[in-house]
Amino acid sequence: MQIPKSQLLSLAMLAGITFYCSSLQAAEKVVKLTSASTKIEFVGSHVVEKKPDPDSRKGKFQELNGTATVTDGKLTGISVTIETSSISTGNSKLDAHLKSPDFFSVRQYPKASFNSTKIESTADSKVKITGEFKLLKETKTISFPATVNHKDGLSLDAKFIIDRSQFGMNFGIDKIDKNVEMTISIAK
Amino acid sequence: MHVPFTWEEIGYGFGIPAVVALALLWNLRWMLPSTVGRRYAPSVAFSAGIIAGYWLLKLGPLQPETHWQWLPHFMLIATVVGMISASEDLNALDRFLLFTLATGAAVLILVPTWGDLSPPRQQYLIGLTSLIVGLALSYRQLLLRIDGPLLPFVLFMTCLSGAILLMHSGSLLFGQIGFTAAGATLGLTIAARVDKNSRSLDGLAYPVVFFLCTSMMIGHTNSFGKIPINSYVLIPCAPLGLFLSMNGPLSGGKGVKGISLQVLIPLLICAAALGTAFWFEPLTGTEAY
Repeated sequence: MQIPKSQLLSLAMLAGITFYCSSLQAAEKVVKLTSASTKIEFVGSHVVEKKPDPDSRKGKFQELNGTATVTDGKLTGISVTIETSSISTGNSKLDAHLKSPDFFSVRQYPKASFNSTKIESTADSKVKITGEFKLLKETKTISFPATVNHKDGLSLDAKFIIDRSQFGMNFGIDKIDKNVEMTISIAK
Repeated sequence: MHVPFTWEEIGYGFGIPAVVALALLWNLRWMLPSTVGRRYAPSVAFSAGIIAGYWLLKLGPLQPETHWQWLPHFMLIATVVGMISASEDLNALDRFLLFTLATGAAVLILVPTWGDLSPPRQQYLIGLTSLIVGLALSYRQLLLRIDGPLLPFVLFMTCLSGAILLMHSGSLLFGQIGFTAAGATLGLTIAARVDKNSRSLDGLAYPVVFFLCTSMMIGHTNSFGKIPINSYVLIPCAPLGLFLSMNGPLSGGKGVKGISLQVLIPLLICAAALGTAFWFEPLTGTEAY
């Protein structure tokens, strides 16, 4: 049986498109984020006249998981879920207080999450990450700058401020600053 | 000593409840016929003081989102139950059934549904209901036998100890809820001290016991510390020490010395509860974080 030339051409085009698409898929890489590779830390300060507060408190979340998507060598998505009960400051009394309904209310809200909606390149290795941050019962859009490096795997560093009162975390707002400094780092 | 609250919080969460309870008890006893005022005024004054402090400090939303936020709503029901229970037409069985029914329904919502609750939820429901019913019936006997400011003062001392325990459990917010009750009972004590009409506090038993027991349950279930459950159970039991103070060597004496002897046993029970709590969860010196 002889196949017409037009049909042969169509088959060749179809094969070409399929190959092109599969090559595109191959360019997308999903990096798993765990507490071993990813650090989410925070600094809470008291309301003081002279900043920085010498008695500020540092803390971190010890359990988290998520993914980062890299497409064609560019960061295109980040999704992280944090176990709020894994909060740790090195002070057990403070940990217990932060877990209570005064702050993270971890019994009621055991998870916090971030899902990126847009990642824009602003300069070489610099991006602006925008996404939905869910903390307590509120989900708010936040944006923060980050430095990203794709050589030999993904690494990311970001430092930004979030206003805890935007998420309904209002306890002690007269004494403990509503602005919390966040530091995120993803190691290679 | 580090005071974790602002003056505004102390005013709203302790001063206002005291003033509201004092003013309501006083005015309702004067305005209402004596039989009605006797039943209604004490429970309305106590609960109104707590609710005023709770809303002024915005301690929770109007529409509850979690178990403990139902507490002010159930205080309204506890107030009505307190009023009904003070009726002279009811017998002991009627009161037992009324308290059991009201408490059984309330604790179903107030006790959290977490799988890792310890003791398990079923045991908690039965234990808490039994404690509230038993204590409410016992408190009522105290209210019928003791006239004057002694009993409201012991209730103030008990609520104050409860507030300290709630704070030490890890939540200043729960501590603030506890302080609203301490403020309200202080208001009742002052009213009973200065006005003879405000001395009979029939009807107060159920709302006070309901608040004390459920707030202790809230503190215990939400705590991430090591305070044993005994501390939370002992606090609402403290006023029962007055049964021992009414007779024997502690019952005699007048003035400050007499009152000191009479409040001794309830005070020791409160001290035992707090002492146990601080023993298992000592102050570390880093509380002023």
